[in-house]
Amino acid sequence: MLELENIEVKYLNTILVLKGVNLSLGDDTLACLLGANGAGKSTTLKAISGLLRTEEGAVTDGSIRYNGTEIHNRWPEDIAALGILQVVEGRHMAEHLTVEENLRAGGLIYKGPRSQMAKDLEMVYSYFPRLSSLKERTAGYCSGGEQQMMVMGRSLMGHPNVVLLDEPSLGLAPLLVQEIAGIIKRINETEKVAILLVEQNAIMGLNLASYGYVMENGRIVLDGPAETLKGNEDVKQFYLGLTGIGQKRSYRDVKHYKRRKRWLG
Amino acid sequence: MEDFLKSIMLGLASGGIYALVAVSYVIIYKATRIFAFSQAGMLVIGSYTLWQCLIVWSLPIWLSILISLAIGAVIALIIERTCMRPLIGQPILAPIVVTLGVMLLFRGIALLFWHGEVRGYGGSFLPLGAWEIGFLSLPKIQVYGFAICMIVIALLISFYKYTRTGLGMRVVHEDHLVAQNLGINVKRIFKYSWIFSCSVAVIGGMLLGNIQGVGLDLDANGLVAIAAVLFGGLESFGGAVIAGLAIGVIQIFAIQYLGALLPGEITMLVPFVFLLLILLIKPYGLFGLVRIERL
Ligand SMILES: Nc1ncnc2c1ncn2[C@@H]1O[C@H](COP(=O)(O)OP(=O)(O)OP(=O)(O)O)[C@@H](O)[C@H]1O
Ligand SMILES: [Mg+2]
Repeated sequence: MLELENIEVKYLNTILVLKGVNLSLGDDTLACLLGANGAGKSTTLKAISGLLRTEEGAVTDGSIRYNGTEIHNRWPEDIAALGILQVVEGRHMAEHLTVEENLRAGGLIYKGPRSQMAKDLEMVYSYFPRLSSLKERTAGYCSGGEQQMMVMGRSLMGHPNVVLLDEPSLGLAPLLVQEIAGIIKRINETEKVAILLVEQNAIMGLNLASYGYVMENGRIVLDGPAETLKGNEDVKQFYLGLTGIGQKRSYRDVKHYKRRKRWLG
Repeated sequence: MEDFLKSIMLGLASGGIYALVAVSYVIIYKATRIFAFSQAGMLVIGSYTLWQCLIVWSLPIWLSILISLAIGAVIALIIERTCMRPLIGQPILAPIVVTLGVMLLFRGIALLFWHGEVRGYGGSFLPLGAWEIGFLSLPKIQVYGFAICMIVIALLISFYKYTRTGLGMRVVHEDHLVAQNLGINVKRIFKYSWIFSCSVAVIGGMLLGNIQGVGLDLDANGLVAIAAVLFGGLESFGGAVIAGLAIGVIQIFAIQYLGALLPGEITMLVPFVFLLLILLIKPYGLFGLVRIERL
């Protein structure tokens, strides 16, 4: 159980980005976190994984607990050792190493028997068959979709309990988005990994997740079961691109909603 | 012809050591993005510690080598912790000045403990004599030295390639953030890199001391190796090795054919003149990593 209680995050001790975020993630749930650009979604994930520290950010108030222990003052490598792994936005990898070396690197954190590495590679290749034909390819030259599969597979290599997935669908073709969505679901169900999914693609996010959070300006403004959120008028309007009566509204109406939304925040 | 081949052999022999020392810079550069001038000073320290163990304390050669390596490792940990760790990510000039300072400190230590006198290992710890192959006469000391350099480099590269820790180190070489993201302890990798680099430099110092005599001037070899590193591209072990060998050969040729025309020490400058020419043509060195940029 991962719990964020009222956390406040500042960058460089001055830029206040998260203003009291509450969020919890059960042991094998798949939850999604939606929000506009700059809302603070990635910051939330970095606060959990500890990567915030590498960007001169810090949790200045509130607490993050994993199974009861506070983790928000720890180094990223220590948090990773607890089995909380972030797949950061933008597919960062060891560019000059091969795909398989990148996957192996993800397995370095696993402290169990050495022989596990080969089994885990097979497991990753079974989720992402395309990777098995790219083993020896230099990672930096793979396509965006292949790289996304690689970084997701890489996190699986570390036997995670919680995976924080930041915008896996970014810049991918619709068909590939569907494929990856299916894989995320399967990983969550078969490997019993809790997943906190950050998505711009709200339809994908809400379809996959059982619970959703909507974030705006550093606050959670809405949360609830995914089904309920899908029915929410604001969410329909601003994140799903749908309206109640199924037709495009005039800009004036949109502005009205925007004002209302700010009030909600 | 005979002279020509002989020059190449001699050049490769001294180039092997340049390659080894060049590798010691690359190890640290790849991990921390710091160019550690201090490693030129480690050559001096390495050569003197071996002399201390071997001649002053009359210890057996294997023990002397082990002790020298251990001292190198301890020094590595001390520099890493006290001087380098606080400098990670600082503007490029600060680490340069600090590592230069550490290099001078090493010279100072050598002056303090050993008075900067030129010493010898009482003969050589490698076999003397020569192999005669046809018209070539290969001094054993050079051949063994060369072999040791190549073996050390090969072991190191295999370590990076085939071990778990080596893989972690290569991820750190690529991107510190990615490494942290994967739970790799970057600070520990910095430590390992300094230990490896200093051990390699100590081995270089022992070999140089064996050939050129133990003394403060050994750090000039470290400077020549800098030319090799820049020439080969800061991020490439293969490049450093090839460039080290090439510079060894070029230097011998310069001594052979230009030595008569130029006053004595000027041949030491040859690698640097050569380096300038190369960098004019290829600014990232011959084997610098190609930045992967996908659009
Ligand atoms: N390292 C940093 N230093 C200072 N400010 C930062 C830093 N990282 C993020 N911010 C600011 O924090 C705010 C939230 O950023 P964050 O990356 O969390 O947004 P996001 O919700 O992930 O947006 P997107 O959907 O565009 O990825 C932004 O206003 C951003 O400018
Ligand atoms: Mg983001």
